[in-house]
Amino acid sequence: MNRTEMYKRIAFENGNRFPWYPEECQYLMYKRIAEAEFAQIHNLKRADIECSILDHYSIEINSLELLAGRFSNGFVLTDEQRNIMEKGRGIYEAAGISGGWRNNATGHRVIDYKKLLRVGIKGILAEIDANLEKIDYNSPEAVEKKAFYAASKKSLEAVCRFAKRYYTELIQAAENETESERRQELKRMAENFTHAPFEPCAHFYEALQCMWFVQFCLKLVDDISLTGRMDNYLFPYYKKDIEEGYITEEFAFELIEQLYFKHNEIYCSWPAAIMLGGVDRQGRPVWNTLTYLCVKAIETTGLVNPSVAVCYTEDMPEDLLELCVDMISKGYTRPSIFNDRVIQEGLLEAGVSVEDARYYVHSTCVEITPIACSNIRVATPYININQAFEKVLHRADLNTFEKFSECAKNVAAEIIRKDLTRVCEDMYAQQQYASSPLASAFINDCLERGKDCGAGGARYDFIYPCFPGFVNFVDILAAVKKAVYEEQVLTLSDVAEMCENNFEGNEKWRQYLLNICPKFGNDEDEVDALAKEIYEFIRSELKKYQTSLGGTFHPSYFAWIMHGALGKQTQATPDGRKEGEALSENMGAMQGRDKNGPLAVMRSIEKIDQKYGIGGIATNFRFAKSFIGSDKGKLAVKNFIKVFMDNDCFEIQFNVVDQQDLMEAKKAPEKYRTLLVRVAGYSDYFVNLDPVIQGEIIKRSEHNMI
Amino acid sequence: MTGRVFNVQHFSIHDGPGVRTTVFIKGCNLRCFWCHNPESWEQAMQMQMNRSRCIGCGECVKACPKGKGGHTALFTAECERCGKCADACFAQAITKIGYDVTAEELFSEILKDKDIYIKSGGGVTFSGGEPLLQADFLLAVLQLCKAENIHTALETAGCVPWCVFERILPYIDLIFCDIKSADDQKHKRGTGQSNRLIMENITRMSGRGGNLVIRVPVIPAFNDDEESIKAIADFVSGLPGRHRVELLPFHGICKGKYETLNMNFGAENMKTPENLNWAVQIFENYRIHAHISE
Repeated sequence: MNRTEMYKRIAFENGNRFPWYPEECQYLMYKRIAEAEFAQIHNLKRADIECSILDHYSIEINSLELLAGRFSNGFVLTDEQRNIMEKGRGIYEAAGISGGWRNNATGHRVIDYKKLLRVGIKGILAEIDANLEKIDYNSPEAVEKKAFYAASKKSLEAVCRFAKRYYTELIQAAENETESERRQELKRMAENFTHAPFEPCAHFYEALQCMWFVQFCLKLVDDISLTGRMDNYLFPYYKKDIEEGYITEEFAFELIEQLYFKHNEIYCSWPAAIMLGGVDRQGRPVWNTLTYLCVKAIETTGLVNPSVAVCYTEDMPEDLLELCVDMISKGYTRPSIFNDRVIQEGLLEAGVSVEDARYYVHSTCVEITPIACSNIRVATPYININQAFEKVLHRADLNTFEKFSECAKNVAAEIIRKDLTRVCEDMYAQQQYASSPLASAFINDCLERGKDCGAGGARYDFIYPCFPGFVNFVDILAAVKKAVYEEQVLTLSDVAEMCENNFEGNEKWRQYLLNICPKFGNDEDEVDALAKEIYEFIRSELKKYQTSLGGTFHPSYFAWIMHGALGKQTQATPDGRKEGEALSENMGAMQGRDKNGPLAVMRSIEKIDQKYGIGGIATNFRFAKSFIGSDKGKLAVKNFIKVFMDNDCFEIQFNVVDQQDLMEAKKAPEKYRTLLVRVAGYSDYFVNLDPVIQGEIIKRSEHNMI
Repeated sequence: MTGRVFNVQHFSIHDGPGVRTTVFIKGCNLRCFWCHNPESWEQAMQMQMNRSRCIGCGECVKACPKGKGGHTALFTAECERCGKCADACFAQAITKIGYDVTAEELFSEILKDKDIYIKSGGGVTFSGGEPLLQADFLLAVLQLCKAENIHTALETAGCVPWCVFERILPYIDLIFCDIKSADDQKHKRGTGQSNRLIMENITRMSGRGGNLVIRVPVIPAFNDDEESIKAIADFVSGLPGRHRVELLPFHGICKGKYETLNMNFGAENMKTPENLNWAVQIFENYRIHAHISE
């Protein structure tokens, strides 16, 4: 077993063992709160906490690691420490800041790694100092600005001290190491900390370590920055190192594998995004050696993280697309493939600048956020517009389909309004009480504006409400249209009663609604037109509102795992869906309702103007291994992807797993612990999923053409 | 001009190059006992019954004009194939097989996927059944396809008069024609028809220099022996043109289909041949390129 294989096992186990936020960090955070001397301004409070964590977190170095920065195993809370922690927690909770210190946009943004690597923390500190000098103390904003800069500075300095501790630990570990090869490795690891992150980076290894280290620091302070476009940031360093013989491709690949493992250790199955290819901020194509290595590492690491995606452009190299299809065909569920042209158009439409529109990430599932300048709340909130029907079906005055659909839309609009108001209130509260001093130092234009990224410092403040069950809404309209208004085989109150009683004793009519009424995703113009109408309806509703920071709302059409949760709360629906069953989870047909193959799904969704879905549109396809495993099958899927992109569709993702395996895995989870599936925009281990979601995945139509 | 089809399969990959749309035409004049598409035999509409989908609602019995004693007339001599049972079956346990389309309707269905034909070098494949039994209809659709430059392929058993081929061939880019057995008696036993016309047609097509692929289904206890394959190879090597051979190993996954049609599957207990390399070798000995198809 080589090092990569050994590390894979450890990373998988660690990912499953560690909680989302390690106890030691919680202890250090609450301890600081419990201490008497505490700043009054929330940025400074938060900076104090960040320092407390970074200055005391115990460092651990694993014997297989080439990159430093991992959760430590050794920490066990003493009784005394527990008391302190509980005291701090009490103060924190009594303060009434129930939303926590964290800003909701955390976890879906990418900091300005390019700048970090180019100027180092030193450069950022200098920028802060220059901005501090410029503060006009006669202005009412002076206090906020000064506190913001002071807080970011404190946190940045703590990162540098933490890096120094790592250097010392690594040197110590090297001295204690008896095996000479490993001793050299540890020395080289320590060397990475001699300049970076304080100084600018000069080499690939150093840059990758620096990027990971800052990302790790953010995770320790309960913030997150995703990796984003690493083939772009790191290529100049890689190219120079290769040219100068400083590094080999094999070693660079091993480092990328280690970075992938580390994602699993600290994020477990939280889908942390890496987006490859596409273009840079200047519009130049990014396809390079690192793009290939990053795709290949999906296979050699083979775990759930990172959530690798490729940004498709027409000049994407043919062999790279083939490599992607090869990964997909082997069942790794990644990369997912995004349509750069459509997404750029959508971002421009939303008011994003040309440069920023070129340079975005899919954040976790499919939510598009511009890199290095976003404070975007994605999938906030998950809105279930299908609940509208629980009211609308009982109306006695809807004698035409037009009236029915109008009424359903009005009730849905009210659901949307209420949900958005609630989100704005949360956002406002977090603007007041939450802050991210460390992350803000790397998010544009926080330093320029002297504001925290959650309080108006970030360039983009969109909110992306998500609509799981969108396709149900469409299918419901189509079913009622046919059954009640066209064929008149049922009355609206018949349908209402059936739904209320979960079709008890009415299986025949459930089958009618399910099978005889048309369904979205089969290239049937009439129902597809309803989908277009509802899509436009949602867009125009969201346009009516603004966030508490003046940002705009943009819809998302995926579900993460919420199609299961919301489905549990939703009574039976007139599309033949029974009570408690999951809702639709993507832009394609509702699970199992596509009867005419993958091209028909595409023909249906291409009728929708997908550029308006920058909140994220996922389209799932499931192929049998026997189909996509053959050379002809792979070629067909490659061409399918191209046509999908040519037809202005947003994103495509695949499950390649045989029915048999899924059924077996449900029965005997212990045998299938690493079986990966694509859920609703992201990948997860099948056996970790809720049984409802497992059932939905099994139900999805498998495309197995002959 | 209408024709009768029973399925249009988009995103097919095994019936010619690239991504294809395969049109299954209803009606066949052979009765091969191993046939994968028994629903293609009759040109008349048929009913199919998938018992696992039945919810026992009894609507089919109520709808059947010939039903008695709590049963429909489905699959009995009384059944007039009116399709009322299928119309009443919301669970789609009973479904109708076969529908009529105009050449224009079918063509617009084919045209939908033109983008992926272009990307992948694919096109349309007419399969069946025997497409050449509806030659006028086929010709009308083919002419529309060729006007749009769509690559066309035809799967035929070849058992129609040459004059039919003469009308159709100018519009076909690729032909797949079966040889089931070179021995006429055996051929009659396995398919119900003599192979003479088929062999003649193949010889003529070969002489015409078109793009012809010979398909050989390899069926246990019928032609999966050296002598049968040798006889076929011998015939192919004697053709005026050179042709690729595709060997299609028998498999019994269509068994369920026969059950839903209330038909007997003539190859019920036969097994898929494990290895056909020996057959490939026989063709190689005749310097004919053969490969095993999926």
